[in-house]
Amino acid sequence: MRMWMLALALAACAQLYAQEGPAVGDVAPELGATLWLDAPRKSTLAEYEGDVVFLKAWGID
Amino acid sequence: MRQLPHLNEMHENFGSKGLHVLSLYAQLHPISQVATFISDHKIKYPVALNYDGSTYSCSVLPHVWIVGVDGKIIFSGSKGYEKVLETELAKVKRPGLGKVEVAAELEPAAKAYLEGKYAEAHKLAAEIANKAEISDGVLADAEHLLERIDSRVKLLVNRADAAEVQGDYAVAMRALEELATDFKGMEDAEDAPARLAKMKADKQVAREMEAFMAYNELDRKLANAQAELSEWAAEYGKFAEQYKSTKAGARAIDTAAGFKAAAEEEAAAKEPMKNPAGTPPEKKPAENAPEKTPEKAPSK
Repeated sequence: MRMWMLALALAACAQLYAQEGPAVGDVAPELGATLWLDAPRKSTLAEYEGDVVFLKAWGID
Repeated sequence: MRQLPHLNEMHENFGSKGLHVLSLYAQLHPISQVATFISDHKIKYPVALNYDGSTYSCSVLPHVWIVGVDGKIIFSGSKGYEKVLETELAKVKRPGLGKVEVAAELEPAAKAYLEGKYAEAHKLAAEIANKAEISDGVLADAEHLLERIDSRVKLLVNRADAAEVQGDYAVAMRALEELATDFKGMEDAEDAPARLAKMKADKQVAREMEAFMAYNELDRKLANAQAELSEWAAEYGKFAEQYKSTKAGARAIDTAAGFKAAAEEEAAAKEPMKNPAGTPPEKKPAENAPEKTPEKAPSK
């Protein structure tokens, strides 16, 4: 019973700690966006090499 | 939306220092509604409406990723990024140049580059590179600068060509605009102004661009409808479970199955919007469950 509950707890924690989107240390995947409001000059993340990119996912609600 | 003015400041004040703010709109609101919101709140940074939400997935909004100078993710979370950002920005000495330092002889060229005067930067770097007696270090820096500028021009020309063939005129025009303004005076950018003027005057191009936006708007409506069908399927499913072995429960099972089939049929029937001439879009993101979780915007 204890082992079973421990396994369940670990599974729940794994959910909590599951990384969202690309993880720290990963090469940043391309955004793949073709539709922009106020499009940037550089369309791919690779073009920003040497600079820092701040990506924010958001919504109105 | 306390962060909005803050992000605007970052975008406006730190762009020249090597910090680029890009936002990913993660919900399914109509484009017109998003555009109105952006206008009302005076959002100045770019907003991607159809990014790859399955790669950049998050269950709670807002979510921030920071890409460092080496192209890797250095932060992923919703808050507490300030120190990481400050440390990484300190590494950017030559924004856009991809180098921390350059030889003294290349300073004028590097300065022109940072000011966006790429044709001038190219000319100055080429003059240095062509000198008879220069050190290996100076030559390497000159070649780095030349390669950086040449690569950018080549990328833009290829992008404009490919996008025009595919009918992705918004992308083509952006590339041509950059060539015409930032690389004016360079041989490969010579025909950009004429091409751009021709494209802007072409009524069919205007129609294609209008149609592309309208199709994306339709896509978002469909994604919303699909989300609702799936929700109803889940609701009836829960009811069926709660009232198992009752007649109403049995009816709920059928109703849930009907909603589920309808949702699957709509998803299967959806014709992906291709950048006209055939590039298939990326697949839609998986829907997130929620708590404060909004419905995800579709990928293109």
